[in-house]
Amino acid sequence: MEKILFKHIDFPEQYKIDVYIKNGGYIALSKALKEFTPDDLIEMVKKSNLRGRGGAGFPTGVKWGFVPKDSPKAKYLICNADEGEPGTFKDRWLLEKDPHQLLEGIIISSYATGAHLCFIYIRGEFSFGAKRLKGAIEEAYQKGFLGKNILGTGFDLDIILYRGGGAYICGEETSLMNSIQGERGLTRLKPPFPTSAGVYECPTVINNVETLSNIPHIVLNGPEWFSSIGTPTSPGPKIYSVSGHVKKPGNYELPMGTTLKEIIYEHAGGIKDNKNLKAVIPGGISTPVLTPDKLFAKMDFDSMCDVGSMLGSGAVIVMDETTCMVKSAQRMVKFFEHESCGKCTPCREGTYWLSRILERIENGGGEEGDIQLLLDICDNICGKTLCPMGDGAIIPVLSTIENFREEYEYHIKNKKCMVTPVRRFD
Amino acid sequence: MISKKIKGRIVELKEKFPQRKSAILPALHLVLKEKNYVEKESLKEIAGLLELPPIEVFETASFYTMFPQKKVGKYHIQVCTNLSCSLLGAEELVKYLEEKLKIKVGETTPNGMFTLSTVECLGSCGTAPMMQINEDYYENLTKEKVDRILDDLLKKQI
Amino acid sequence: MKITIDNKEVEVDPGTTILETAKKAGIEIPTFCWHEKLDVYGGCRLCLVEVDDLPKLQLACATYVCDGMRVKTNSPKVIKARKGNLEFLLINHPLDCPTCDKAGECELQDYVFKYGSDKKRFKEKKRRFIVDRSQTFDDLKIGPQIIRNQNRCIICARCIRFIKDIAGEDELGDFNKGYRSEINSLPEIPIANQYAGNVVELCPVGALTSKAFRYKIRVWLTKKIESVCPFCGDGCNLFLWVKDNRIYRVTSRRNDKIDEGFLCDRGRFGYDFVNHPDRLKTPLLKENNDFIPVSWEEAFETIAKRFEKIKKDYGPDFLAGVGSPKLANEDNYIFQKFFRTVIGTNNIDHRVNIKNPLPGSDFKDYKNFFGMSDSIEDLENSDLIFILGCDMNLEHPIIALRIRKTQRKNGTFVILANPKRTKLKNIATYELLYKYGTEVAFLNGILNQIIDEKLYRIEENKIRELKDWVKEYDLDKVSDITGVPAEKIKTVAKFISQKERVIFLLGREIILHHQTQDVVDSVNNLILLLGNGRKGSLNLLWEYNNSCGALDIGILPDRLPGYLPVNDLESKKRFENFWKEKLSEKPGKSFNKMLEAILQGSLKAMYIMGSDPVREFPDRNFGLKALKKLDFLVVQDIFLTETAKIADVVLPGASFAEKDGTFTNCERRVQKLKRGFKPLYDSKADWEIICELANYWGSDFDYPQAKDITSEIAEVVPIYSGFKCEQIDENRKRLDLSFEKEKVRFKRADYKKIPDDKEYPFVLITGNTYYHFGTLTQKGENLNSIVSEGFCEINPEDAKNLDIFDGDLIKLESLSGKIEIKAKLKGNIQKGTVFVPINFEKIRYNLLMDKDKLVDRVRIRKS
Ligand SMILES: Cc1cc2nc3c(=O)[nH]c(=O)nc-3n(C[C@H](O)[C@H](O)[C@H](O)COP(=O)(O)O)c2cc1C
Ligand code: SF4
Ligand code: FES
Repeated sequence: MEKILFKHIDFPEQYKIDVYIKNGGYIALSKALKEFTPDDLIEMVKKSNLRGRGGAGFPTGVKWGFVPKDSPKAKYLICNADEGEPGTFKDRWLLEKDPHQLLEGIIISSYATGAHLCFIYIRGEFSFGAKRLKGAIEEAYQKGFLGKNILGTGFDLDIILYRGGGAYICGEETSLMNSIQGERGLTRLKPPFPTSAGVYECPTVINNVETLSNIPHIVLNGPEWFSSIGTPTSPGPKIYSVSGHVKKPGNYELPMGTTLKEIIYEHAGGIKDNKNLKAVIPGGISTPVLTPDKLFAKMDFDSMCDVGSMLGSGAVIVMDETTCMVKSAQRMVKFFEHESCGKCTPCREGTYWLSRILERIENGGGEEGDIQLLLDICDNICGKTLCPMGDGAIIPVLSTIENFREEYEYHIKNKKCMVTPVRRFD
Repeated sequence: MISKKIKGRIVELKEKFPQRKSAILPALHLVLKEKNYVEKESLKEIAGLLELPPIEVFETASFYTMFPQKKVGKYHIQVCTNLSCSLLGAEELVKYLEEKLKIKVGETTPNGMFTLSTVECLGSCGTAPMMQINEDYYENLTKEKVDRILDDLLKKQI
Repeated sequence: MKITIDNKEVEVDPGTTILETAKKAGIEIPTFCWHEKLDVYGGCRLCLVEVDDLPKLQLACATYVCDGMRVKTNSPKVIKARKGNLEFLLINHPLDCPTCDKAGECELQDYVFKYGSDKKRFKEKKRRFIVDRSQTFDDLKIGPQIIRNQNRCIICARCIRFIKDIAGEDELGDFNKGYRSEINSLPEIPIANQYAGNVVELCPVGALTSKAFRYKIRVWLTKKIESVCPFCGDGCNLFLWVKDNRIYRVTSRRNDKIDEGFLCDRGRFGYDFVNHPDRLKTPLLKENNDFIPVSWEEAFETIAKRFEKIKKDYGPDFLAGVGSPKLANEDNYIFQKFFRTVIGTNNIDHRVNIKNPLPGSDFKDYKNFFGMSDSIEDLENSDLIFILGCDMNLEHPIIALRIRKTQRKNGTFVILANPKRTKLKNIATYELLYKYGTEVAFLNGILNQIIDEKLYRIEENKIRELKDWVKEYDLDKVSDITGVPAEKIKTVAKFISQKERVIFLLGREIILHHQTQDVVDSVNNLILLLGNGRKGSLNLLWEYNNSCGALDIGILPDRLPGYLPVNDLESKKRFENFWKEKLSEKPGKSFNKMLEAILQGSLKAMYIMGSDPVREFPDRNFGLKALKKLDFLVVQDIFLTETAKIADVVLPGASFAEKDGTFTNCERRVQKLKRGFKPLYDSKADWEIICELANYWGSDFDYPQAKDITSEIAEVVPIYSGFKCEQIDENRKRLDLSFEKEKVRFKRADYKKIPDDKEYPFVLITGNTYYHFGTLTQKGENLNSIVSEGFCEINPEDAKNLDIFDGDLIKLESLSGKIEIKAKLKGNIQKGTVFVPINFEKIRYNLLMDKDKLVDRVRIRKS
């Protein structure tokens, strides 16, 4: 596949507006504003069947369609650039290396959804990315792509770059909105959904960086072109972030539905030091770990479900034979324990408990019955939390126990790891 | 005390958002950039400048990990120890830094130069192991690289 | 809609949640974060139930039912989730129930008892929020009355939601993230707002407890007595928690018509005056300037003898009785009956703190002074609430909450017009700060503006007169007099005339005003002018717990109970028939006229029950001089008040907790209070004392119990007719004052200029504080731990000009006297005014007042 989102990713100074324009940028914007009504654009995106790249895969056009047309309130668009899912680093590339592609997508999407103010909520730690985006936004204002009466079409849009403060949960949309309101990032009950009462209680559309970056290309090339890439139910290109024990970690733009095997062995160069593969997490740590026998699986929303995992953010974490799965699970759960917003009981207390037990097992204090207890705690969290984070938090435990139960048993019995991890820091 | 320049910029934030409270996080970032931490006095000052009840600023600041309220060193070293980095030796890196700086995680060197922390994923998993010092990322770390980075920072000092 | 819940079919309206439906069906679904009066939160996740065949359990508190829905609240899946949830809440809980004040009424304890498991699977170290390593308990004092133990907290956020959403305060917050989340306030801004105590009651566990109740007693040892708050006119319903003649605490007895389950801290913590050691214990007789304890017989004999003699020597009108807006209807009823029948005079009043009690002779004149024409609940059905001369949070904290609620929920507009900035400002659409005492000019300005711009909806020809009266009040002139910008008056005039249902609330400033009648007439003019289809209503908010009752029951010199004129023959006959005594038809003297009469020698003896005019009369020198000149003074009270100190006989009455009876709140709702324990020491209920005295005298006051008096009131007082004491509590009925709804006419009201005074440049405003009401509360420790010292609020600019700093001791001086007081710089006080609270015994604010001055003025000197 010819690269789409990453076409100019390595082009020198692509982040500068002149270079971006020279490479064909902002044509889609002009086309969108001049040739289409907002409704046309919503229809177009619906037809392309673009699905959100933030993790849940919700059809973007359908989401846009939920925005009430007759609401007297202001409407907002939020670009979710919080990229917090461990293993994921694709959005950072997109916004650092090709920020105007994102801005162009944002402007078109704002026009389509009736927003005149857009927030880009960027992870607090991405200070370089913030700098790049800030520069890009200023350039876009200067060129008249932002501000009043954009390209003489009468459409107004302002963008506020809003930096987070270091909280994974603020990637979750309702928590993100509270964060923009200057509050603690607690999640909110749904309904009401953001499209009817989002930030400042106004209709709000939230989309991921990668999702929005696709928009200019859909406008330029048409929805049919877009849906011809990838698989019928998950069309388009997808950026896979590959990390862990591979020779060439990095971001790879490939059609949706590329197999895990191809991603790991062809693009990422195979397993580091030619060791054997033990496990793969396909979509960030809130997706279930897969064993090597699932390498044939295609990386798209539906195929991943079929093999008992999820596409998530497409962050492939590769673990070789020297990896202790108990330790990995403990590390992942500790993350969720740290990142729970604390509003709901099962997530706040459940992750605390899981984390303590795994720590104990890891430190040689495992007891008989611990595995059963872990599973039961997971069951008491599962489906009972306020936001999907709770369900994400138990996945590392459930999926490692399911696939590597013997390692847990070994740990509990022998008070040590079954494998001796190879430290590679030297 | 927040510097006069930053104060001016915080006051400007008051009108920038549909609701004034939204200015809290940007204000915290301004202070953080200036002094690496945001102590209680600054939080109170921010509340005053934004004309918000102090408690709202305190609540918000306490939720986010980026705004330590205790003084940190001139260079705040934050090592990612999440899964991808751990797989590639992040824990060893932490140990190495502890030995090198003669402090434990969470502590500051006696000369006030370095504070060492571990943090969750910083979105740089493809270049693991990695660390962040103040605002900058340092990736694909090795022992030699860490030595060089710290040396450079110390040199910059002199 | 039909819903099946646990195989029961229930019919409910759309927009009902599963939880509400279950309640209706009598099925309990456990909840923590849900609270009927707070916004749905969805955090605790305890209320999960099974809905239809959905794989995931659903929140009962936040899911709305739809037709045909099938809900299971005790399927194995639900029970497992519930057990799991409770287990989660317990893993880090200290399980210190034996030393927890909440034990016995803790929702966590109850739910674990009912639904929890007895197995302990958590073997790890518990999370602990350590306050002080040397302490075993992790108690943190986060306010003068509030103690937090974060280990027990379940993060249901009820406290936070109450403080932020309902009370509109910002002293309590939630901090940190995840399992480190905690509830706290900032050390330099402790939680001390006037509603703070509610969080203790709202907290389902023992995370927030009150200092007052801490470690005092196990709740199950106490008895819960239904009562009514004895302080302000809102009349919140209370439970007194009582054991061995002692009140241990007060909690809300939720009444949705009034308090919706919330109390202010005065009501919640102010009870401890009841058990104060300084309570009067026996009757006292003055001998050689000293009080000696005597028996009741001795006291009665002295009183009867002296009264009898004065009556015989001079006639009944040389005696007078002063009742109280703080005592029960039964006390006051018996009191006036005693004076009207046994003594034979109409010299009866209770308005000891008002310079110009309203004219007494013309029946109609009382009409607007009855109180509120709307109920507290009615406030929620208005478009605009116009508050005039009322610091709502100080005077009526619970009505203030209701106003906040309707503003938040229904978008009701609020206009504030006050001589000082008040707390409701943050929800008000407009705030108008006028110069003290200029209300009539301000209102006439609005009237003139409405006429000018033809914003009225009444026929031209009906307003000709009015037009003429107010035409001189043009914007510039009014702005000049009132200090309110012309533009603002214009905007507000327009704004009011666009609203359909406008409720006017008039407060203390208007009641104590030198032009009360004129202000009320002006507001009436405004209501009439808006007219035609639009509904406006006038409400005068009386201050005390039983102000309305004292008026209704006829503690007035010219009115029999029920406002029947003493000189109306038919009314007189009615009461003569009931009481079997001849009554005087000569109107008596109002309290200030009584004082004048004493000095003129035409009043010789007085009986004061439950009032302290030496402190309260707005001219201390004059009041004291007069009262001291009396031949004979009887004071009946629960403490040795300043007035009691100059009495000849002092009788120990009983507090509200020690007697049965009724209070009538400011919206005229009659409410029953029950006796918690028998009168302390040798004291007696006030009505009982009067009855015994009457009987001693040879009359037949045969009332074995308070409820016999209540029945008589219901029988003889027309506006209370049909009341059954037993039922008062169930129906908590509001009295309808629809009698004599005569046509209201426009009335002329002109602004009386307040003379300037260069010598004494500051206007003196007085009132209650957030933490004290009257002088009783400052007897107790609880509220004193919040504020215990008087202060004078002064505008910071004025202070600067006078070189006064916060906390400085200053002198306030007027022509009549001076007091020393601490200065408190407050931006809400307008320049040129000072505010002095009436609650502190040491601060004799009425020393500065002069009964003949329209407005009291002072100057300030540094001490
Ligand atoms: C715990 C949690 C964390 C999330 N973090 C992110 C994130 O970092 N970036 C992101 O784009 N979406 C994240 N999401 C998904 C968002 O809630 C939301 O679905 C997404 O931004 C929608 O955009 P899309 O439709 O374009 O995917 C997260 C969701 C959850 C439950
Ligand atoms: S202190 Fe009480 S009311 Fe407040 S969150 Fe904790 S448990 Fe709930
Ligand atoms: S009561 Fe429903 S979530 Fe708490």
